[in-house]
Amino acid sequence: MGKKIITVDDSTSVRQMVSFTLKDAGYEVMEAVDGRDALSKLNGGQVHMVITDLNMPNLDGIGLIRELRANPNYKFTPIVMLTTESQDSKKQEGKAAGATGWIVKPFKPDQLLAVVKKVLG
Amino acid sequence: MSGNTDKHKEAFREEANELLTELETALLELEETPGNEELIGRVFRAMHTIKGSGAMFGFDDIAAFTHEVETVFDLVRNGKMVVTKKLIDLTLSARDQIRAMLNPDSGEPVDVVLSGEIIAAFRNFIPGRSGEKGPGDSPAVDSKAQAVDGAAAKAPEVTYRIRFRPVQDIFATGTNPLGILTEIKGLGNSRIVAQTRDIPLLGEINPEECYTYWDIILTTNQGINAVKDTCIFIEDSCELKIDVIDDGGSLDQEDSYKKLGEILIERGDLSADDLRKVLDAQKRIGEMLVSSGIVGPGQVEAALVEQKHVKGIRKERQASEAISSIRVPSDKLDRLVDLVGELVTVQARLSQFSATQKEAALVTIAEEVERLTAELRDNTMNIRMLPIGTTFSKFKRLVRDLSNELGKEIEMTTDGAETELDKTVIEKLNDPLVHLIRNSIDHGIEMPEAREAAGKPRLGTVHLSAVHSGAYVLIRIKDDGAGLDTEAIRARAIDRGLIAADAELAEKDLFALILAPGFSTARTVTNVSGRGVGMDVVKQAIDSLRGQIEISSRKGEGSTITLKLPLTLAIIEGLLVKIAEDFFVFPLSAVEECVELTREDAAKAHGRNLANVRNRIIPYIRLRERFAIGGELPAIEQIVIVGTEGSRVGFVVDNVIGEHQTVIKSLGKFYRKVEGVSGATILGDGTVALILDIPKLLKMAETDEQISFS
Amino acid sequence: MDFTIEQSGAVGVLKVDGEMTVQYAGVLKAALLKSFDSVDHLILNLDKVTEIDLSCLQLLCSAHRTSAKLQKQLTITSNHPEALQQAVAAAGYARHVGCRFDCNKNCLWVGGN
Repeated sequence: MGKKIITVDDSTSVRQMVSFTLKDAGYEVMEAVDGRDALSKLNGGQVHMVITDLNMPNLDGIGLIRELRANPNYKFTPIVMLTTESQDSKKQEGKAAGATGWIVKPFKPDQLLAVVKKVLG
Repeated sequence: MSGNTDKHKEAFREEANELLTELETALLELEETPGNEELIGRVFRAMHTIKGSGAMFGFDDIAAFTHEVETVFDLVRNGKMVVTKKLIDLTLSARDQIRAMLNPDSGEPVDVVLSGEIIAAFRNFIPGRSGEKGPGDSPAVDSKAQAVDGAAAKAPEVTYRIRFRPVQDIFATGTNPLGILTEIKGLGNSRIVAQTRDIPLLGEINPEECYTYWDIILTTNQGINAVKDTCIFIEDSCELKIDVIDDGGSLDQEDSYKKLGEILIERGDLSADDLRKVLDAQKRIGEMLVSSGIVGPGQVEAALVEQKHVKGIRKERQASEAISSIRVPSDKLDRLVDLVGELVTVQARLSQFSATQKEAALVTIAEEVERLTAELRDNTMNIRMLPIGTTFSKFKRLVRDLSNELGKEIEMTTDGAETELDKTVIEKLNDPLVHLIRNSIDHGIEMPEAREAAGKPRLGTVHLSAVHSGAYVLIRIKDDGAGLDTEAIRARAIDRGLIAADAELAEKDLFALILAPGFSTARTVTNVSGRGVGMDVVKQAIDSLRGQIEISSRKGEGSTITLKLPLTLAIIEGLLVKIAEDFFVFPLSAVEECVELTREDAAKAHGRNLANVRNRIIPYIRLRERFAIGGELPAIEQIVIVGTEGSRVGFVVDNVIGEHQTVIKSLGKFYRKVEGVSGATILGDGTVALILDIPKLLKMAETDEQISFS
Repeated sequence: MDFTIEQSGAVGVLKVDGEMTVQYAGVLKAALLKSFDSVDHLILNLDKVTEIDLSCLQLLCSAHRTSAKLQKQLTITSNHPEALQQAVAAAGYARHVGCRFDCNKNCLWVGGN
C-alpha cells in the first residue's frame, strides 16, 4: 500500500501537479486548499508526509506547520514547504516552526519526487 | 555532452509549451474575472517558471523577455496594479511571442522588433518606469541549479570519504536520516557503515533521538556539491565532513590503496603514536587494534570498507548509469511500428506454415510467437497514444479570438481531454477541427442580439468532446447556434447541381451535402470560415484518417458534428477478398454485409449494375472491371456491401476469404497514382494485397456515371 | 503500530504489528523494558511489521545490548524479514563483527546481507 501524502496548496494547478506526480509514483494523495482545510481533512488521522504551500488564505503554511507539530500525532511527520526563491526569510520561519525541508518553486515532477523520496526514506 | 543539454532543452520546451497553454487558459479566465487572485497567481507562476527554467536551460532570450511580464504580474499580484483588457491582450501576445521563441523551427521566424515592442509596452505598465530603460536587470537565475547543470558536464569520478552525524534531536524536524543515506547511495557507488557505539542501553535511551552516525565511502561524478546538497535541509543540524580520497586517477595512479592504519589516522580515529605501539606486536592490524580497545570494531569496519571500496574502483574505472525513462525521437517510434508490422506479417506466415506441418512442437512455438507478437503490437501501438487534450486547449484561444473578431459572445467547453488517440491521428486532426470550430462560430452561433431575440442566452456555447467507442474515438463539436437551414442547403445544392430539383432527401443526407466540394451557404464571405472550401477539406482529411463524419442539426437549437476516428492508423481490421488471382482488402469498418450474386441475378438487372437485396435496390461496382482484371467469371460472385454516408453500395468480387488483420504499408512511388487503392499489405504466404480506398472508388464511379446513388 | 506480549514461564513473545517508526518508539521502548523485567528470553516477533525506521533500529540495537548486559536472551523472528532487511541495508547497520557489547557474538547485524 502506498504511503499517504497530503498536498496543501491554494493553487489548483500546483496541487494537481503535485497530486498527479505523487499518484503516478504510487503514493496515496489527499488534497487540501489551505491550512484550515488540511487540518480538518487530517482530523488527527495518519499521514506520512505533508507538502504545503506557504502563502494561503485562512491558515497559511507556517501556521499549519505550527499546528501540526503541536499535535503529538504529527510530532515526527515530515513536512515539506513550497517556497519561491524570494522567500528566504519565510524558509527560515518555516524551519523554525518545524518544517522538515522545502522545495523551491518552480520545480519539476522529478525534483518533487526526489524530495519526497529523500524525506520518506 | 551536448546530447544531454539538448535533451534538457527539449524537456524544457515541452514543459514551457504546456505552461503557455495553461497561461492562455488562465488569461482567458482572468479576462472574465479580472480580480481573481488565484488566476493572477497562476499567470505569475507560469511566467515565473518559464523564466526560471528558461534561464536554467540556456533560453536566455526567453528568460529576459518573460522577466518583464513577470514583473508586471508581480505588481498585479501585490495589488499595485489591476488587470485590464489591455494587459490581457498584451500578455496574450507576449505568450505567443514566447511560443515563437521557444519553437524557432516551427516556421514562424522570431520577430525581434515585435519582442522589443512588447517589452516596451510592459515597461510602460510599470509605474514610475519608462520604456527606454535598457535590459540591465538580468533575470534572477537559480544559481544552484545552474551549478549542478554545469557540473554534469562529464565530471571525473571522485571518491569521497564522508562522515555524517545528525544532531541528536533530528527526528523532531520530521527528518528521516535513512532518506538522506538513500539519496547519497543514489549518487554513485557507495559503502555505508553505521556507527552504533553511542546507542545507550534501554534504561538510558531516549527512543526519539538519534544516536547513530555514519562513515560513507562514495564514488560519484556528480561533484562535491551534490553530496552536500543531500544534507541541505539539515545543514545546520548535522556534521558533514567530506574528504576526497580518490580523484578519478590524477591524484594517484596506483591501484593499491592506503594501509588500514593510515586510513584510521586520517579519519582521526587513531593517533600515529598508538598505531606504532600496536604495530610492534605481530597480529592482523584490525584485530590488534580492536582487542587493544583503542578503536571500536565499527571504526575498523568502516576503514576496511573504505580500503576495499577504493581498491575496487581503481581496478575498474567504469560506471554505467541506469536509465529509468528515456525520450525517443518519433521517427524511431515509427520505425518500430514498421518493424512490428513486418513481424506481424511474418508471424502470420509462421502460423500458416506451422498449421500445414502438423508438428506439435512447431505449433507450440508458433502459438507462443503469435501471443508475443500480439502483445508486442499492442504495446507498440500504446506507446504512440497521446491524450487529445493538448489539442483542445488550443481551440479555446481560437474561439476567443474569433468571437471577439465577429462581435459574438461564445464560450467553449470541453470534455474527455484525457481520451487517447494515435499520435499521427491527433496531428492530422488539428486542421479539420479548426475548420469545424470556425464553422460553428461563424455560421452556427448567432449574434448576441439575435440570440436574445430568439429567447436564448447571449452567450453561445461550443462544446468539444472526445470519447472512446470500441476501436474508435468519437469527437463531437456541438454548438447551440441557429442550426443548419435545410431549405438553404437544398436551394444551394440544386443551384450547384449537386442534387436534382425534385430530389427527396432524408435530413441526414441533406446535411451531408455540405461536405461536398464548393458548397457554402454563408451569405457573406468572412475571413473566418473562408470561401466554402472548409467542409470538403474537412471531409478529405477525415477520409484520409479512415474516419467518418456525421452531422445532425435542429433548426434554432444548434448542430452537432461527430467525427468517428480509428484509434490507430497503422493496423486495420480488414475483409480479405479475391478477384481472379489478386487479393484485395476492404476496411472492415465500412463493410455491412456480403451477399451472393448469381449470373441469373445479374441478367435480371438488364445490364444495369443493380442488385436486389431484401427488396432494396443496391447499386454495385464490378471491381474486376475497375481494375481491368481478366479471366473467367465464377458462377457465383460475391457482393460486398459497404455503407457510406447513409447509402449502401456493393462491390462485386469473386470470393470473400474472411477477416484479416492488416498492417498497412504505404505504396511505392510507382503505385502512388493508382486510384482507388490506399495502401498495401502482405499476406501470410508473402503475396501482396491492395487495400481499397472506398470513398475514392465511389467518387470515381460517380464521375464515370456508371451508377447513381439515391 | 500495535503490539502484544505473551509470556510462558521465562520466555516472552513481543509481537509487533504495523509501522515500527519513531512515533511509536516510546511505547516500544517501554514494552521492551517491561519484557526484560519479567522474562529471561525475549522473542521479538516482527511477522506483521511493514516498516522499520532508524529510531527503531537503534532501539533493537539497544535492546540487544541490554539483553547482553542483563545476561538474558533476545531473539528476533520474522516470516517477512524484508522490512527489517531493507532498514538494515538502508541504514548501513550490516557488519562483519559485533560491537564491544556483543559478548555472546550474536549481534543482530552480523551476517545476512
